Amino acid sequence: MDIQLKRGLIEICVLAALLGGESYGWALIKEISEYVEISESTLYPILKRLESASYVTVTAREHNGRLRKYYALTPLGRARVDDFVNEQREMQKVFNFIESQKKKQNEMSAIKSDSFDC
Amino acid sequence: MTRNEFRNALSARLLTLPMSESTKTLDFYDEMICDRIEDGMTEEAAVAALGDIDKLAREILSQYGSLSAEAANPGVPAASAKTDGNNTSNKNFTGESESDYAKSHAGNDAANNTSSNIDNQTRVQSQSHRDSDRIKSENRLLKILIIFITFPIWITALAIIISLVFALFGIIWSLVVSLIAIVASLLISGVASIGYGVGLFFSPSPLRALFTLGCGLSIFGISLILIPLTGKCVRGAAWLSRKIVSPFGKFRKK
Repeated sequence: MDIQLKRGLIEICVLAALLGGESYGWALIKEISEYVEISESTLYPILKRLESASYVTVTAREHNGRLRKYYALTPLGRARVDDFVNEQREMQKVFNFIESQKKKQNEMSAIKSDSFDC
Repeated sequence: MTRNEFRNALSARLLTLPMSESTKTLDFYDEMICDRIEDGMTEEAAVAALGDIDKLAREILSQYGSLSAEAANPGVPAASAKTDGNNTSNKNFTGESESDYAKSHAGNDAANNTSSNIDNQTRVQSQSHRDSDRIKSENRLLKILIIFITFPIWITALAIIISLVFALFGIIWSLVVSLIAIVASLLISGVASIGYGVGLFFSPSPLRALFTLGCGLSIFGISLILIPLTGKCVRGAAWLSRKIVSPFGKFRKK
């Protein structure tokens, strides 16, 4: 898959993974990697970008004597997820149109080959 | 590799990054290792899970370059990925991989070129960012070297400045002390003259007694008037000394 496209999709995945509440790096990787392949080197720049665009906030909390970064969605981030879902509906309509056109094309070529048999 | 060995090895490969960026990145990967260990992995396995360290360092450096380029052109990050994705996702609707599609539809060369041009652009920008960071760290090293070499010059200048400050202090406070001494002596001699004058009344010359008494009283009076003035001078000298020291306090904070 195209790198830019994949990066955009993983960004949405990260935002969606935070819909249920704040989370931290390793938990995000575990959750997302069940659906899309993701590694730390992919996740790190994405988290940085999401933070600079104000889609997520970062807080450092103490955990077992060390500092762990927790990421949480902002209202802007939540809106971005909703936008993506709406975009997908649009894309699904286009998909359906293409499928119907392809089916039509197949039917037309089937009729043509039948007519030759006379 | 242990956690610390990994951190040191990665840090050595990220020297061209600014300190704050490098620390943030190292902390991020450190956190990942710790979390994996907490999940039950061994330290060796947790470090190994991060992959080849050289490859990782290369990715980190190139990402930093392209991220700086994106920061220079502010735009919603997912939107930029979306616009690029729309151009290329047209090719992927049928589920073919990009390279297969390109091979079977050579007419889309233009589209292929633009997406690879974007990658080249970010790669060139990241290279120039790496170069400018290297130059910045070289400049820092050069500055430290220059300071080290010109040591005899600036240490003498510093010594001169410090001794001048001390001299200034000495002048101010000796003036104050002499003022106090003058007032004190006036006071004492005034009282002494009053006493002598009173004593003279028992002698055959009452005029002398009166004169001495008069002088004593006036001197005493003058000294009394000068006391609050001296107090103001002392306070002024203290304020002045504080003002002289304050610019050096800024140096200490640096």
